[in-house]
Amino acid sequence: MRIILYELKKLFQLKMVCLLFIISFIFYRHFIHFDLEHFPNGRPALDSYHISMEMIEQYGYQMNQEEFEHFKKVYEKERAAADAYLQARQEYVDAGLDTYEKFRTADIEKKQEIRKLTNQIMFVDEVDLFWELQAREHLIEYYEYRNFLYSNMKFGDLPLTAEQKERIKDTIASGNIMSAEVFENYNSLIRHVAILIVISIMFMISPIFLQDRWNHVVFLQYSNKTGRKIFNLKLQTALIAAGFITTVQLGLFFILYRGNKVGMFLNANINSVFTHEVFWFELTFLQYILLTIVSIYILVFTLTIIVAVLSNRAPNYISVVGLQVPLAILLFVVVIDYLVVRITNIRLPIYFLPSAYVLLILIGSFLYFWSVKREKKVDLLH
Amino acid sequence: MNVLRFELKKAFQSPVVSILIMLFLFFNFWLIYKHAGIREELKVTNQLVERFGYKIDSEMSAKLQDYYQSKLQKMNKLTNEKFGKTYERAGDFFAEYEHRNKELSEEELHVITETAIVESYYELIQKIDQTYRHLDLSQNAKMDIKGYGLSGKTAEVTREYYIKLKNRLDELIEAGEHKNLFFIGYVYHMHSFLFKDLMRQMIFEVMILVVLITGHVTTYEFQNQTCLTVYASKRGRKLMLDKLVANLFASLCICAVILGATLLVYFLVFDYSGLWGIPISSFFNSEFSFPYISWWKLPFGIYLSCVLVVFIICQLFFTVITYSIAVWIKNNYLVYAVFAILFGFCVLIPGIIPKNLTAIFWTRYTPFSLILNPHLWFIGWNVFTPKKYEWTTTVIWTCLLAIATVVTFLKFNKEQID
Amino acid sequence: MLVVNHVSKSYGKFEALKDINLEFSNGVYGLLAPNGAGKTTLIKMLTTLIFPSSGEILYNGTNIARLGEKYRELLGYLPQDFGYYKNYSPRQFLSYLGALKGMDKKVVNKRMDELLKLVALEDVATKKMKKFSGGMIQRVGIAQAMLNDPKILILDEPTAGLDPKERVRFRNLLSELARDRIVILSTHIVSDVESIANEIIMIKDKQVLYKGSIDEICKKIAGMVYETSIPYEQANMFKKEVFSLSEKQEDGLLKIRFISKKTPEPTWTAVKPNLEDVFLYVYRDDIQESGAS
Repeated sequence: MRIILYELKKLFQLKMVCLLFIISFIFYRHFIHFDLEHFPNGRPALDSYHISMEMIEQYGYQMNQEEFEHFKKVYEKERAAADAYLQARQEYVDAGLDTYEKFRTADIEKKQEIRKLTNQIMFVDEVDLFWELQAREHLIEYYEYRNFLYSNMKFGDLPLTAEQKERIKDTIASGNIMSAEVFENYNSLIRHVAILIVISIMFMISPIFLQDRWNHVVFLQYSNKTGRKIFNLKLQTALIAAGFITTVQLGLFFILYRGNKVGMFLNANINSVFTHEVFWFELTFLQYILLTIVSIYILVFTLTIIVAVLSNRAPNYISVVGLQVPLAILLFVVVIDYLVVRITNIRLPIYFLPSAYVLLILIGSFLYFWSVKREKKVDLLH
Repeated sequence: MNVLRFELKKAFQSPVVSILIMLFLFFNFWLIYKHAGIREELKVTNQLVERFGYKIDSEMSAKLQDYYQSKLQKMNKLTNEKFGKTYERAGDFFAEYEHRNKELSEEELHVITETAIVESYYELIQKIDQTYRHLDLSQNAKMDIKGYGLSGKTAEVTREYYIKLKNRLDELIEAGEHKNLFFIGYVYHMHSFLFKDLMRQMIFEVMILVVLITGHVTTYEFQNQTCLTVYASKRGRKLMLDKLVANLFASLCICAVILGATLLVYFLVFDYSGLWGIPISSFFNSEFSFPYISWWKLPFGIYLSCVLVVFIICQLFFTVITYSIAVWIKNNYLVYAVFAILFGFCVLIPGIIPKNLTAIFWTRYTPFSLILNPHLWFIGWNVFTPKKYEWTTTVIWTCLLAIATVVTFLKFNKEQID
Repeated sequence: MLVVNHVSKSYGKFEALKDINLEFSNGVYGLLAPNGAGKTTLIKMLTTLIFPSSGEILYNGTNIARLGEKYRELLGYLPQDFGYYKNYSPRQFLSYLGALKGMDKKVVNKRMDELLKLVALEDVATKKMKKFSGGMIQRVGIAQAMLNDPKILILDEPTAGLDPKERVRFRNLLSELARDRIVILSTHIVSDVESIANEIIMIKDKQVLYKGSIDEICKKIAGMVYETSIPYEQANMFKKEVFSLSEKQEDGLLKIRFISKKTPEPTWTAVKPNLEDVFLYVYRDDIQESGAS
């Protein structure tokens, strides 16, 4: 344990920690800040978010046909209010926009003055009522055209399997209420947080073995009592460090994420016609979040072993960094999207995720044991 | 010269450089391959240019109409035989496309597709004048001001900007620069594909390689503990100068390999013959409701060359930037990190400056901001792409980096090496 | 007792050491050979950094590979290329190595104080090693090798970078230490081992050439070493006849020390051979080769 502490100290040198801090800050400003600051992003997203909350308040986490009728009634009421709003304004009546229906279907491309009038309400005055109506329309549409999920959940041109159809059917029948805005926002955030964590791990772990080799300290390490066990200990150090970095990054992120005020949705089921997503399991939003966290940890530990082994084998920094370029591209473009974001989605087979993670864990453990074994016998020449 | 060769060897001896070059070229070829499905359709443009020239005027328009009519007739004859049906427009056929395509041979389908493309050209030509008449740049100014939240001085700059762009637009319309055939931008997005997707991808690829190599070569002696012997030799600290030259040369080599191979394949796949002289501001090149308006009259060939020049200059900037960092830090791992941070900061700064300060404009004059939108180089697109943006950035940074290099040298010459 | 038993080491087709047989008990052993003869290979095998291709190394009858950390626990090693962290102070670095040596923290601190005093580094004990001279670094290296009070102390070129005063101190220290432990000293500087080594091991052509006390080894060329003074003009002629060991100027003549198997001439004075004579004579081909190249 003492050796691991010493090794941790070597990894978390002040200058490295400072650089990591700066890198994280820049990354936050570029890719994460926006989704935290501008949530929900614009309108009618804001209105959808509010209405989703209202729905849960009124109907609970599920909505049945009766409640849907009620929801539609509220919409009609608001529509009447919109009609009244328009009729109270002479210029709209004059332009023939005396009902909401006409307002909504007006051809704004052709007539300049009509465009001006609609813009006035939507963008200049930003009348809440009209935005809300739009959001309600969308939600009603999603509910009424819920069978659309069948085509939406296809993966490429593949036909749906019986299991997939079953899940979609269940989801449609459930009437689960979940906000698409909240779900999308979280997915975008966790994707970027995962990327940031990957970058942090790569940055901090890469020097772990290379540094000692370049300093010619390995001769001393391997001829000491601890001997080649140090290799194993250093791998463990790397894993501990990676776990620590991941925990801190995730911790910081979730503290900031609390500002997005999604508490009400944590117990909502993410299989919903409103999120347009169906998953293999009946997950609540909170369970989904936990699942993404677990998957990030597994990913991180495998990555750590790969990076550490690379650091042990690469002759110099250009190689250790250069070889991680394809690894990073693979992670950012493919792996994170399939193994962290939207996991357990029915677009992919039910066994995809478990087998992918079993594979990852196998790769990780194989590399771990292979490199430890190899290191036991290697001749230390230079 | 001999010394230079040894320094260059250090740049390329690491197998990771070749591995990355291969990988990047593979990515580029893959991207081209994914887009290659339209290459047959693009050939119609070349045929039209061959037949009528690319300049659009009433005479050409009339000829094109005749050509189109004859094509349509041929097509209708074919469809009449096959399905007992004729079409007013070739496009109408494709409304039913899904049901009919299996009953047609590839050749027959080709006839119809070709007719549809010629038809698009014919119809779009009729729309050119109307489209340009409807361009209201003061609206763009308003949208920019609202969209970016500009106010005060910056809003003023935006209005002036669009007045300037309007002048250029008038001039362009006057000269008929927009009335030229090109691949239909609305459909094929060739400008975005070449200059945004492919070019930007290459910019980042070459940048990664250039930074890796420069950091490696510059810090080589300090990393290998040969600094004592090397910098005490006759060449001594002037070796740092050799290293700079070697780095710049290596960067040029990387540019040549990546650009050369990728563009070669690109132009083999997509036929641009006969299109090299067509101005980039052509109506057909535009992909959105707002057309690409180049600040000068730039035929495609010249435009491409200018873009390549800026591309290479930017890469040389990255070389010198990395080099200067490396001379100070001497540990290439940290050099890479510092470069990444510098990149991040330079791109970040314009975004966090209050929107009423003109600093939001001039902080963008960095190679880092410049490389983000290669498809808008030399083009007036929004308030952040002013005339001479590229050249001003280039000149400013040449001066800045010259100073930085001199300071770096002076510092290194006095430095204690241990 | 440390026994090297028929040990060979080869890298692919290249053979670095061939059938080495050695025995070490308490005392100072001087491992003497020119550069590149395989000294470092032998030492790396003794320190478990590389493994024999065939044969075995036994400590008290057990293979050191099997003993593992029980063996390394007894080991103190100063590599030829002593690595350290530039940003660490000697204290930080020694406590790190103390941890690697599996020592108790309190013991490490106590030993560290003693050793830093011993190698005269107590004033800079908390300064970063970045600014240290070569000699200071070497002394840190010596201190770390002795940190765990090793039963087997292996030093690869330990006196490199030490000034003459430090060298003498260091030599005395070693002979004191060697009373109850094995000290293996690899060097190509003869004077380092001459005064303190109980036994000298010479390696030539990948094999052990001589192993024995200094006297025993010197006997190999007893009666062949002479000194004489000759005028400069004759020097070249003379050196073709005999094997010159050293030359110096004295009273306008060249005083030359040499080896000759011929019957001595009256002007020659027979002298007692020393270790350096043996070294130069044994490795004469290597030396001439390297001199010629």
